[in-house]
Amino acid sequence: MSDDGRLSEEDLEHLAELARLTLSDEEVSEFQSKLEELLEHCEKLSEVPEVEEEADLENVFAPEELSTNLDHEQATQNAETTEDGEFRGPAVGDGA
Amino acid sequence: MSDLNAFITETNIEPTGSGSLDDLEVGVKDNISTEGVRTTCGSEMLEEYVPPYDATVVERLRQEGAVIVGKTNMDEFGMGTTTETSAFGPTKNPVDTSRVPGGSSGGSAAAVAAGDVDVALGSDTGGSVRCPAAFCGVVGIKPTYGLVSRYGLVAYANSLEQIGPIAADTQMAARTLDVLAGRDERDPTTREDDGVTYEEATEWNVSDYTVGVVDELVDGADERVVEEFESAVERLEKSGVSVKRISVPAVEKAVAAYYVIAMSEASSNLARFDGIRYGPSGSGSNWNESFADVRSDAFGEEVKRRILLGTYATSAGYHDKYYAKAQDARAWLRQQFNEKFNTVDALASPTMPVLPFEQGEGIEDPMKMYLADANTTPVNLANLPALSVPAGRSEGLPVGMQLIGPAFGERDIIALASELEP
Repeated sequence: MSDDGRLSEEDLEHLAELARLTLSDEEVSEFQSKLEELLEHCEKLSEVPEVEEEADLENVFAPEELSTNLDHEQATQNAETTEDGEFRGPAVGDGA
Repeated sequence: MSDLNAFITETNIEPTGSGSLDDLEVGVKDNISTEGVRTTCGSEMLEEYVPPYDATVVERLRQEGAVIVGKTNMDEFGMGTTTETSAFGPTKNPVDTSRVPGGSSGGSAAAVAAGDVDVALGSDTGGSVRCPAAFCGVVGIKPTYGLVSRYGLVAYANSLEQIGPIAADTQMAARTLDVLAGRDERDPTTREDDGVTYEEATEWNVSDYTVGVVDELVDGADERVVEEFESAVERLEKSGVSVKRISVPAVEKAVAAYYVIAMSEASSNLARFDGIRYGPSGSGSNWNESFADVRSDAFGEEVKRRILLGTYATSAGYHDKYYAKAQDARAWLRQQFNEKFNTVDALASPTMPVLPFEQGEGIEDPMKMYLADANTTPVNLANLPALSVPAGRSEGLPVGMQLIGPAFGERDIIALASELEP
């Protein structure tokens, strides 16, 4: 990808692959122009000074204790495919 | 129920207890989990998703006697300013049905304004409670980050969002906030409540308050909006409030910083929608193809756009230029706001710089929609509380005043807002 905020079709297809999206040709050209417009607007972030901030935050700790949350049936109730109370996904490699 | 398409699902979830919300009918935005009642986030991806548990806020409403009568329409996953990106069709604005109700909690605000419910919950990531409250002429509160539990809220950009009430007046919104606020062990970002109720604050005397009007957030607004806003400022002055004009230059970077951060978080949060645990399953010969298939099919345009940009802004080589700079802008803005609260009790601006859009006006022009969030996004970036209260009407359309408080200063902006009400 180039440094001037321009996105080529190849750039978009690469991003789509990273984001696990398949784009139609129409979507590629539509997204190209809309995203470039937004990136151009975001150029103004280069005018922001570097800021050292002391975060006003506190850690929250809790004892690690076993407790009942969802059972397998509840946890898998929205899945289309399950096996023995567990999720079943597609094959990780090709050709399954 | 009125014919506004304010609800995705009508239901009747009974109370589990009795208390300050007895006999009240409540609408809940459809990205907040309700046990046994589908929770769609306005997306085809979750069209049939039924949560096995209640969000903490839903539990609390039910314990206090509320009946949940519907899950309200919203922009898909909260990504929009008009409620037009919903997979279930747009919601109409009850004040003028040719206009949008604002978004993304448009169904909640429309249902309240139409009198379908007594109060409704929305979620606010960059203005999604305040914008529809302003466009529909009702009151909406975005609490300080950490005041209200996000357990059971489907995440869009979790470092920015809070659940908040929308009601016809400040008192009802404040009463509901009393129920929602407080520590929840299931959301470690929440903190203990500190006693005085928000409802009491509606009776506070504000005559010794100082309010700072943020120049940058007035300058960019439509003149019809400014006119109503200024008349509300005058009403505050007449009740003894001192008004100062102040400048917060960092707000001009807010839209850019907001969209970079929100989209980056969205690209990560929405990675969970893979067609395995919920949602329709995809086809393809392997894991990656199957994921891409279902995601391409079931996500709408705006959601895809935000995932792509978030992926870009966090990828190697671009992270420093976009994501890291956006975090600098966030810290810079926080510093400038906090400094102002040394001399003022609250800040004020128009909630939205424009009047409610016509239906269909902005859906083709995302940049125009993003810029409409100029006044609301700084608040989320700075983790501050803010609300929108009706300021007046122009050409029959509602204009909202935004009041911003210091962190956990909800009571002061609630007191000021009730001063503006009849």
